[in-house]
Amino acid sequence: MQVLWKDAVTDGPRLAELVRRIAAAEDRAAFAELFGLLAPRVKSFLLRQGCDGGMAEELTQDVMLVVWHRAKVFDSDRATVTTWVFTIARNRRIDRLRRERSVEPDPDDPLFVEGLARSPDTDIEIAERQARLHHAIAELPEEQAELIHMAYFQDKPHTGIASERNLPLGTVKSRLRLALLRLKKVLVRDGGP
Amino acid sequence: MNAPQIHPDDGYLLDYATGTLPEPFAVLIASHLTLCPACRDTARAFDRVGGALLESSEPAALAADSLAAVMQRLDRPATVTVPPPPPALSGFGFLPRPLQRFLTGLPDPPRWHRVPFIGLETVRIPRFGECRSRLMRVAPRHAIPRHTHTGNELLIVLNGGYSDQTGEYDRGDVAYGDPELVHTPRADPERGCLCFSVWDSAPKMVGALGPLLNRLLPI
Repeated sequence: MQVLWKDAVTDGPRLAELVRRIAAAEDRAAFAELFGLLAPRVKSFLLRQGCDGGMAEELTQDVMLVVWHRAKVFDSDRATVTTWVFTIARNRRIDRLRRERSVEPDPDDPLFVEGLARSPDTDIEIAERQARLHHAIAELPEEQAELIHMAYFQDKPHTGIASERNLPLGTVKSRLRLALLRLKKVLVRDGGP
Repeated sequence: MNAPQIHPDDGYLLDYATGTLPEPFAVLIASHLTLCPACRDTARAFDRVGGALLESSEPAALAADSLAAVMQRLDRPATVTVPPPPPALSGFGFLPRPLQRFLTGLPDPPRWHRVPFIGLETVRIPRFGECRSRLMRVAPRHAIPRHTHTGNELLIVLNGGYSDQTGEYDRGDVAYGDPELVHTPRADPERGCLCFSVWDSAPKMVGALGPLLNRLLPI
């Protein structure tokens, strides 16, 4: 599995700081810097998901505009900037490309059940956790890594992956389950963003 | 209110995170997530995997005027806004908001269609691509006759509950049906059961009355 760890945007605290400056003062210089760090990766991600060049460019600009307008609601205790941007890109793809409506649970919903409150983590803890996550992804056995990549980079649900690869759905489900268990061990045990 | 005890499998939470679930299935999962902090943690973990894959993507070349084009648009009003809470259909204010939003546009109050003899009523929801969905309520003590499923079906309990040989399902719980499941779900004796179900192929009645019921079921 190819993980360009050395090229990854590793400076999570810097990204969070830039988003905070946009939220606090509509800081355009901060936005330009954030754009330079993130937009080329958002576009690359969309291209890998099969968007053509024009659409990937258009969606990338859309995503960065949403970042600008929503900077105030970004909560660094709940997500890293790249995770937040991933969800924005996902929702824009659903809304624009599939012409469906993206749906998310609404924290203001009277039915919303709160989880346990966690104390915020330090920048160092967040960085270490992110490194562990990259490591866990890189260490997945080949057949599990392949399925995870297909899940994120091909516009298909896991049931569709099974029929495309001519694998029994049960096999896909059990491989995914193993991969997810490994990742969850790092992710959910850690908690936090 | 207790948190749900029976959860969608991780495959569905992953599909939700990667944005590949058709909208009606995503609505069902988002309704469960509203009620279930544990599954929200799992879904968030999958978002983080997405974030990590985004971080490790090799930067792509942007259009030459990309940044300038976006900077120019910063002062315009946002085109993507957070939708206001949906208007609740009469008598349905207690549903999770993702589902309320999905039901916007149905006749208000919704029209319940009775299936004769078995205490089942359904609200039909327009077909969505390959997917169909409906609200279903079963009167207390009634059971849906033995049936199986020709495709993948997900169901979330919205009020009351039911039981079958796979377990007891209560509010917020998610059940999965496929061709291997043949069951006779029985509604809670006091509260009956209200649920939302989504499938990509229709449930099929089995047994002596099967052919008749398959014709009668408004699905």
